[in-house]
Amino acid sequence: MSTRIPLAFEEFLDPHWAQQGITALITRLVVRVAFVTPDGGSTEERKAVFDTGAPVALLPLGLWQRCAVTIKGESVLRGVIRKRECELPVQIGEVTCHLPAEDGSTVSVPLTAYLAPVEDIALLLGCDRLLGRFQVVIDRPHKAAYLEELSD
Amino acid sequence: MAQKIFTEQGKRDFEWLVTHAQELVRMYPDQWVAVYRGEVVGVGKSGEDALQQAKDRIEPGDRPVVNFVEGGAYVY
Repeated sequence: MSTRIPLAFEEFLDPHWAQQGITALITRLVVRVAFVTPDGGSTEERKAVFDTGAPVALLPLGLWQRCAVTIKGESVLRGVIRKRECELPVQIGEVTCHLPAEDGSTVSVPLTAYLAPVEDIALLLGCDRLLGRFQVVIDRPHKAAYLEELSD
Repeated sequence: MAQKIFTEQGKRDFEWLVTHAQELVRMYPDQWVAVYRGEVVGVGKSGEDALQQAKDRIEPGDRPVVNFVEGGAYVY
């Protein structure tokens, strides 16, 4: 028995690249997700990027402020550019996400997350808890991708 | 009765978002959109702005799917 959470391949051309004749496709693995709210309900569904390059999830301000969240500490988000002006101060907290499984059930996963102070960022689901719990299958030639939890 | 988290409509709207990514990048770069029944029903600087805009355009009890539209080839 296993539980599969479908991932989808989202692909598009960067408009600025396309103007220069660069036709490399931007490919994202995306997933349906909702988050637990303080009243025990859930947020609306969102599309998140499943990013194995991110250690933990990243939630924009308006979203995490509506979630049931336990603040654990603070940190600085750093990316590929190591300049101080490119750093983003964030809080780190615990949230719980819901993911829809292929069989119609819903899987709940507690996540550690960067809680951003800004809105204009993509919603990311990182490695934390997900890679420890699910096998990740990515088969672009056959357009198949999913997270799979194997039960004993 | 508790509201269902994931619906068939939500699945269709998620798929619509995925298949219309190119169009969305062109029209709404670096903005949040709310999609309902295969249509953009809200656009804003935050997901909550997009949800607010969508409120009058969806059936009572329904919820749109919300997404940040990347403006290009970002590396996270």
